[in-house]
Amino acid sequence: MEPLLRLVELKKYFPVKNGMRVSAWVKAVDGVSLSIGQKVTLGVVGESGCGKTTLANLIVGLEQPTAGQVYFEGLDMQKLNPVELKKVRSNIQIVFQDPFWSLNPRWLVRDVVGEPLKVHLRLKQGEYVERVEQLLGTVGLPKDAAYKYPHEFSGGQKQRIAIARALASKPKFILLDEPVSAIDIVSQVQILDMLQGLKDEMELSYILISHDLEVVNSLSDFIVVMYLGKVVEYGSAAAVFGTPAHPYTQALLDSIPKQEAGGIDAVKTLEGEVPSAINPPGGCRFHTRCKYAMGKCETEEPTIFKLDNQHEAWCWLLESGH
Amino acid sequence: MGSFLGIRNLKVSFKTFEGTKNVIDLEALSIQKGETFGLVGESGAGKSVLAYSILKLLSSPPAIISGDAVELDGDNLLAKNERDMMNIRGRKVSMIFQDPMSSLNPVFTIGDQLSNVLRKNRRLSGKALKQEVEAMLKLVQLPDPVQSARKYPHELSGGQRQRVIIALALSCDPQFLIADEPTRNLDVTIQAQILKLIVELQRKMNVTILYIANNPELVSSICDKMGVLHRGRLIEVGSVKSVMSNPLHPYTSILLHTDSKETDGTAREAPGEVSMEDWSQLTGCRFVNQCRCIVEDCKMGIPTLKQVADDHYVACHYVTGRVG
Amino acid sequence: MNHSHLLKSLFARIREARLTLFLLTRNRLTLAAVIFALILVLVALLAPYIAPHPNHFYGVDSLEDSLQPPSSRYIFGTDEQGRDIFSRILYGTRLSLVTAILSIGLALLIGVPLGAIAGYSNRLIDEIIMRITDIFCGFPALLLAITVAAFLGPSLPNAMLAIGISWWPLYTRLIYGQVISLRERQFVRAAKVIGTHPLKIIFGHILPNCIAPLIVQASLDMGSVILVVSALSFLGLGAQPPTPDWGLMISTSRNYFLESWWYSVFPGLAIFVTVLTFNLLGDGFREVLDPKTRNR
Repeated sequence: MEPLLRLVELKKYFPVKNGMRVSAWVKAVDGVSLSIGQKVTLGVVGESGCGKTTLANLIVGLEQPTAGQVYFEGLDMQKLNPVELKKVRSNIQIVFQDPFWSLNPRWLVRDVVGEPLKVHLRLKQGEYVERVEQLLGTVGLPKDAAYKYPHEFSGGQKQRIAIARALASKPKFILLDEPVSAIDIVSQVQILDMLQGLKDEMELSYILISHDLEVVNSLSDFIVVMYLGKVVEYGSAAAVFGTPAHPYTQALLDSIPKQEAGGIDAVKTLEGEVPSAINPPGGCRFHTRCKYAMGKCETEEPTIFKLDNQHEAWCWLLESGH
Repeated sequence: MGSFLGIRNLKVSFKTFEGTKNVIDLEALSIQKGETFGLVGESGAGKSVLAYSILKLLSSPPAIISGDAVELDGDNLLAKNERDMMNIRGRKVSMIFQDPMSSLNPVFTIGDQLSNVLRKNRRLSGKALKQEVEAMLKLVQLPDPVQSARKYPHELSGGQRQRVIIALALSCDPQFLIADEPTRNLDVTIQAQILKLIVELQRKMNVTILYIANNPELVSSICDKMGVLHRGRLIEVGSVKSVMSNPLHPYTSILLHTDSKETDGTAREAPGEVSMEDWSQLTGCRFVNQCRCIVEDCKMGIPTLKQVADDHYVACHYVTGRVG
Repeated sequence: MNHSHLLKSLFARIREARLTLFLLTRNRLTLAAVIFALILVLVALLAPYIAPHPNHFYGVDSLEDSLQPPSSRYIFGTDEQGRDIFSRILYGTRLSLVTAILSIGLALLIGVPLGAIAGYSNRLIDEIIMRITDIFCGFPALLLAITVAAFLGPSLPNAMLAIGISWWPLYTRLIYGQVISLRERQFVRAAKVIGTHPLKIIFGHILPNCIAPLIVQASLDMGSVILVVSALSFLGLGAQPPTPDWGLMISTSRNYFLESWWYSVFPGLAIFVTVLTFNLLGDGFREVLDPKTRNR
């Protein structure tokens, strides 16, 4: 069965210009392959420079790949004509991180939420307003919110408006790019619960991007760990967070201080900083910060190693059955 | 057991287009010398406002500050004029702000910025100045201090900039440090490095720290005591162990995810959400419209901090009613 | 029942405007400017009804009251043809305001779409439009206006055209900068993901967010344009006699100014007050509409 979304060796390089000449390339995404099915949430974790934002942009079509393909329901996104592309667009939606700027401050909430309706359907004014009010209700906002401006709402409520907008065209898939990072902790829990409920009710698939491991863990069925433009580990949430195979995943989990476990003193910090994506380290990109780096890691890029059903990682340590 | 920082009855309000908003209404807060105190609360609760008002960094209109005392080592800061405050800031008290990019001046190298501070507050110059700059950068574990001193802020990564900010804050050996969400925008791995650094430096230099954050887990892992700020009021305070293992105030338990999760998905205002309700005008408990355990007093009187266990205080009518 | 949504959106927009109005009136200088601007508009509209000698706008029957000093009959005195200067200044208000509005309107009509398209399009179109704009910017506006006016022939409508043609690059640049920064905003990206047509994005999403700096610039420009129109008329390239244009009046007064001070002073004052009003208005708008200075 064809997966809903399939990425094949996706690459995105950005040119670094020296005047008119291109002197180097920022390899933001460097060969990512993924697929997700219906009613599945895929979490993407990684820190700054890992390429998850660029990946998000590639998936929703805000950027064109330098190489590789994006298949939605079997269709190659780059080969679609404008009419077909528009239809696909009604099926892929996005919720951004910044609640303030993701809604046009000069538009009434009614128009913000209803924009997909205007683009993809031809509704009479009365029907249009009714649908908008319905959507607002779905995300837990009162009907009269439609005739207010975004700035009259709090951060959490603005994100609900953004979600209502994402649901308007009845998409099959929503990309959530750090949806709760900019709002307060208590709203975060509410919004994540709501997203889970909506996924079941409306048979949606999500890709959830976040730097916050707890957020990703709470919602994801599968998890992808990215480092410097490449996928380093993939598997079910339980597998990846429970028995991480890649040293970087382990380091991410170790970095979170917990009071009962001994607080900050018990934390094993990962030394160093993320290297530049312009000249990534040779071989395994993580070798410069990895405790377990061996000779091979500096020269050869690790191949895929399957641990279990649906648990894979790219690390030479696994070669010997670590 | 006199406290190092003692706040009594601090009230901060702002005059706005829609009227006067009473943002902070702090009954009492005390931090002992050498202690690391964590202040937890959400965005909009008033944490930064509190920090700025301790240092008197709020411009007065539109801010109106009043109170009995904000005592630092016996000295009441509320009674001080701007000139005295300028001597205290940077020397006795120092602050780390949230956003490293905007705290550093983009047109000066970090060596220059450190030198400025050292020159002014410790009156160093020439060779001694240069050596001290390098020593400070080494203290915060910046790689290659000599080279780094010549760099501009935009040439450093987020984690490196935060180290520079810490160096600036500690350069004059302050006795008290206010850290306002210093790891907010950093990656988890870098955050771990910075937290370790702060704790290490705290032990080395014996600084008293007020650490502000919106993540209680984080705060509890590096602090000795913690307090929860909700809409400008301190509603629970105590040792980290006690508060984390036994959160008593209904809001605290929601914050720590230990409450029962019956939500029907409606956006009934999230407790603490800054939204349509103007909570600054409420008499009585400010949590009253979101709380599930309301008793009669909740609407009438402001709950005050009462001791409910060893080193654990809560401001809640419901809780104090039960404990007796 | 069906149209309640129109009412509701209207009320919503009125509520929005309330804050702006409140902030505008807080600064006394701005309040004075707003009131005065309203007075100017009223004068422009009602000139024929409030002027004491409406028949003097363009000409007069007798030359007996030529060059009379200010009196109770002729408040600002008379000019060499015996026309009441006060009445002519009142009518001149209408001319100045209309000319300024039409000139700026023309400049906006050309400049804004160009800037918006340049800002949103790919590199090639962007470069082409902006380099052409740069070429126009190289000419001093007044000089360009004079050249065009001289070319087209002296008249007030031609002066308007000349100013419109020389002024548009300013707005193009302004809008270009705004569009460039706005197009990376998340609500624009969201619109792209939704599938909204690019033209709808430019005119529906981006331009409404550009209105604020545009209002500020246009208000300030009202003052500048009035000065330029006056200058053109003064040089004989704009309004032609017997039109009661302020600049033209000053020009004519040159011959009589030693004995009849009132002839050049009052039209000059009219220009001064009007330009000042619009400058203060523009400043006031800038303070009020800039999101940084606006919310506390």
